[in-house]
Amino acid sequence: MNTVIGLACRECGRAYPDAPIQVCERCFGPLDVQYRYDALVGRVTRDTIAAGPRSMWRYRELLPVQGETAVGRHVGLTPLVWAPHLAKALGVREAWIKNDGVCHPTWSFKDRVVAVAVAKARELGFDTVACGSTGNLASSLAAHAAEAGMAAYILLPADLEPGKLLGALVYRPVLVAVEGTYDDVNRLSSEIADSRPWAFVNVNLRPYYTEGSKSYGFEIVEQLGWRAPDHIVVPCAAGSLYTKIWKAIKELETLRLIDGPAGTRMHAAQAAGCAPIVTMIKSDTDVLVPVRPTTIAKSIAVGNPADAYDAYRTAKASGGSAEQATDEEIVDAMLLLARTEGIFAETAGGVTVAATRKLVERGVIRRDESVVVCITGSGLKTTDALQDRVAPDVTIRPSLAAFDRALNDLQEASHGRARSYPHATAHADQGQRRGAGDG
Amino acid sequence: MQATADTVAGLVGDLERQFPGIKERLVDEAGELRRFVNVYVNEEDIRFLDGQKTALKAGDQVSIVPAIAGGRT
Repeated sequence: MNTVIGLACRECGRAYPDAPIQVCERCFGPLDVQYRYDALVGRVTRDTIAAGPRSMWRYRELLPVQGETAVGRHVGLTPLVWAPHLAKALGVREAWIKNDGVCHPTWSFKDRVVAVAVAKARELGFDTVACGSTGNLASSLAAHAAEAGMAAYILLPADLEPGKLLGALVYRPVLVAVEGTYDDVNRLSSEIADSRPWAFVNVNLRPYYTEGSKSYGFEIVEQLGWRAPDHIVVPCAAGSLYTKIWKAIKELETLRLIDGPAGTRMHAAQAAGCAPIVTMIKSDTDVLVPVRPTTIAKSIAVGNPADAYDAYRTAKASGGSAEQATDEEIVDAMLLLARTEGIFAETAGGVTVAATRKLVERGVIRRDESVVVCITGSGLKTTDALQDRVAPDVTIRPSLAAFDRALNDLQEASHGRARSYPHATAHADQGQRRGAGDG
Repeated sequence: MQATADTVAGLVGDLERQFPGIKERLVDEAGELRRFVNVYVNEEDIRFLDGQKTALKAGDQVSIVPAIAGGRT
């Protein structure tokens, strides 16, 4: 069944057909996919979803793609991890990690949006896909284009982390490094999209592409046993994931699939060096003031976020708040998550964990409530951020005597000081450990 | 396309003379740029310059781009 009616302008409401249209031609507002919800009530049930594939496609009736998907079939349904040690460190009763650091195939939530966009690009007859990216999208699009046998053109800021560049180049797209920020890349993407017959996934396919993010929200609710958590903390770049998780919860509410009222409060997390959305929410203004990003959390360093206004409205509608984290707080939080729950998140995940801690400290998240912390990419993508914070404890020659001596020295060095097993502490890093000599 | 003006606001006015009806799509009743319209002068967002009062000189390149295109997250 075709569940899509078409597109409509989020700002002025003007209706458009199901087609690759970048923005409302009247007011330049963003376009949203419209679904036949009335036909879906009672037709999409917990049972039909449970009987679906073990991927994001179990929610296909709520995604804007027709027919069978030829690529990206294994994307999504990532673990929702019970995180008691992190909960204790943060001071809340119930914390969960939604870990898209293990999303197939490129270890970030971008696989969700790309799977939808590439499927839609094929459906609409495109043979070439393109994007502007801060790295994760580039990698995901290049991978899915390879799987689909489509040409891919990718624009990236030239100063991106080497690992992120490699993570796209390995799939052999045409990769153009742009001397500028992501915001420069983004503006250029918009201009290119006007002049090339390409499916620019985050420009002319954006209304469809962003819908893929809803699957992250659907999964949270399903994995909690069809319950909406009290709080969800989401890293924000353009702000789209944040708004789409909220939309997902509202859709499940419309389809009567959630137990009890969905009173989830949505909180936005950004790096202090690039926090235009946090600023809007905390100062309660719907006017975006763009910034020039300076943060190690490059994947979310978007100074002119496309969905800032909608993100602000999401915070207002859900009773949510926002917090930001300095680079040092980001790294501390990455280490905290790794050492409490064994989950290695990229820098954006550090932002989210650090923001969650501040929201608890402010009393926005109460200690008797539940919170889902959104991890959107793998820590192996941003190892540069930790280079100065981790090192081997000791280097020795390959002899048992050297090993015994080194271990003895290490134990003496740590005597009287709690070696950092952070289940018992609220702080991630107890300072640099000194290496003992190898004799 | 070519237009002549001393400022971005003036440019919008000149575009309206050339293409009647375009102004109301770019600015609201109060004359403010619409929420989803971004304007760049020589690749710089005018919100980092002087807004609609940003001065223009001969040869400047002005881009009017929908705010929609986004990226990560």
